[in-house]
Amino acid sequence: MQADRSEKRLFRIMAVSLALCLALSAAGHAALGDRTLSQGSKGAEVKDLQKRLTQLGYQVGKVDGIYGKSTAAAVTRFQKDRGLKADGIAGEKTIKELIRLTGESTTSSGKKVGYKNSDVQLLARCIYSEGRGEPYIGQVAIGACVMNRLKHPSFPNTIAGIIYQPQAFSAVADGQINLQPDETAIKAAREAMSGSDPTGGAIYYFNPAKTKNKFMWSRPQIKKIGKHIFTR
Amino acid sequence: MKEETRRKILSVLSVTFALAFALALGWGIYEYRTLQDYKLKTENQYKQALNDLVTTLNEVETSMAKAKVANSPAQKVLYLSETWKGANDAVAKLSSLPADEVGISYVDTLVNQVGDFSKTMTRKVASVESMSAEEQDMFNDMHERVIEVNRNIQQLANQFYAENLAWVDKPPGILQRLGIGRTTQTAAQGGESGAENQQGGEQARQETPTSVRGGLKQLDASLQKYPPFTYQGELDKHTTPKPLGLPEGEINENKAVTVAKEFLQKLGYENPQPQVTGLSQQPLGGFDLTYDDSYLEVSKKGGVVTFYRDQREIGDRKLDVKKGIDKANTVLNKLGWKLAVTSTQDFGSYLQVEAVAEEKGVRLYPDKVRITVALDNGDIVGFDANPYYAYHHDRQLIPKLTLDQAKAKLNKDFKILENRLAVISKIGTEEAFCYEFRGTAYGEEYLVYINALDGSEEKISRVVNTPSGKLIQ
Repeated sequence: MQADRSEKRLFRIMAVSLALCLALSAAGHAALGDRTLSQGSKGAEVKDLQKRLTQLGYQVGKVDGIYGKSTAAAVTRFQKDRGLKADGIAGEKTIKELIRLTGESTTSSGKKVGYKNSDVQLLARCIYSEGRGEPYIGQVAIGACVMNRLKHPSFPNTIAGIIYQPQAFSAVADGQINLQPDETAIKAAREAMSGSDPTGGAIYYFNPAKTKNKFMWSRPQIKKIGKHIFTR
Repeated sequence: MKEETRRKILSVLSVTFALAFALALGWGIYEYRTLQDYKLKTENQYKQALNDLVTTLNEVETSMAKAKVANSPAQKVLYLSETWKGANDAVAKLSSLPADEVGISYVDTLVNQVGDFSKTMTRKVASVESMSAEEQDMFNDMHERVIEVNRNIQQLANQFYAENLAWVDKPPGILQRLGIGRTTQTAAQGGESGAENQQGGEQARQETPTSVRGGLKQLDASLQKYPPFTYQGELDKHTTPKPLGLPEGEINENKAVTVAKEFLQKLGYENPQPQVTGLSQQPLGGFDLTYDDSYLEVSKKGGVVTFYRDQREIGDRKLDVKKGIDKANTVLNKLGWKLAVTSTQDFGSYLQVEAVAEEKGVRLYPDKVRITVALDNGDIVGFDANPYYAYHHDRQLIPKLTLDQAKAKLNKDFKILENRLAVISKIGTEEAFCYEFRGTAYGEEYLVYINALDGSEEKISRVVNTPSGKLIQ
């Protein structure tokens, strides 16, 4: 009898502490979207926010759960790109849109089949590192060169293969490819990937003020956009 | 006292220096080891790529030899698809080897062409069971060239291990530049184009390469001597050298300005003053114009706007997708286009709409126009009619199969939701006239195209719902 009672008490204590644990952890892990996040916010929700921003190419620096300046800047870039009020504060609308866009793609019956936009980010980084400061159309043109190489027999058959091909892009050789792209470069990457080509089939480009490379100058030129000459 | 302090200072100083030296030495050794470590790792990756290249290329060559003689469609398809897959792998390996400069690689080109051609032939043999005599000749020709490439690359790999070849040639040092040191001539220094290259190739042939890249360049030079394949059209698909849809006649600069001005006015610009800011050498262009943040391209032949983009920043979103599509339709009508909207992608601040021409109810997918609508005020900020002008032409659109005959060709688990006639593009400028069936099977949505002339299953697209709209894969 005695043993039975103490067992019951032990069980009760365990149940209560388990419930307490659960309640506490739920409070600690409030889900993203429960409240407005802004500069100074901290916690798991902020970490979730940062992860999702990074997934879409809006890099926040360190994913540390602290809503600092760079997170606010990333939120602003995201808002600008999505046509939301660009205030750097992650309110209801911003978070809803972020959650929607970071969702996986589905089949018609709703089965998840993964993300379908991974190459956009790599292309955006290539465009940003090679052509930041160029007009928007000049950035689309750089992306279009990569896309044209994809279809050209002399080049590799994947976007990563083309961008990381040794000596193909100077920004890869000097590490600038790892810089964080801005929203213009991301937009230009998307436009180039959807088939837009302001260059008329170019596969090379060079800055005439900086290049003495004989091979580059020997290619048939198509046109000049911004500082770059685009060639066949 | 003085002497003592001096000695003290000295000893402190010397200990500090000794410590600093020891630290620097330690740091140096550490850095050196790390560097060696990284060097070894990259070197290993390069070596793997080279060995993989040798293996895959050898497999490609063997598969080609077997595909040549195979007589049953089953065997022919097997070896052709092995060739296709192997060629793809070989290209990936080739392009990950170290290089010292950019250029056109004829080795890459050949292997890619072999891959593309084998893919096309795989399909062909699988559906009509044979290759034409011309295609067979072409394949044999490719095989000859692959044999040469394969032998050369094997030799190069052997030499790499036997003679410890470098990956790339070092640029000439100071002594060599002054003419004192020994110089090594490589194909690369022979220049990259025209007569110069021929000479370089001739020279290179007689010399043994001094690096892996140098060897590849010699191979390039020897491949360049072969005549190009007559199949070029289908092998290179990144441009359309002869656009089919541009109107007749040529225009001058003044006319280009008028055309651009009218276009901008129809989009809603008040009194626009576009200026010609550049000329372009491409069949679908001619004049580049700018006005404010806008960029336009007007074709020299036919004098039409082929490309337009307003690069302004887009403000807060005020319109939904439906209003965006309405805006696109209104402006297209104003510009004189009669098109059917086939897909939209919602990018938040803007909407991308694709519309195609229709003829007697037949959708002409190659004749495509892309429009971008800003969702802050509904203005058209992007217009790209390059595909339309590249491919639009008069077509014979009389199906030989009836709808029921086409339906009978479908998988029995496929449930049709929608059907219509459509022209779809294949590789290059080739097209197919098909029945398009939108439907579902195995919980997925598909577009299946049955050729309306010969009944073959021409193409299958998978439709996936992404956060920004339907994606056709």
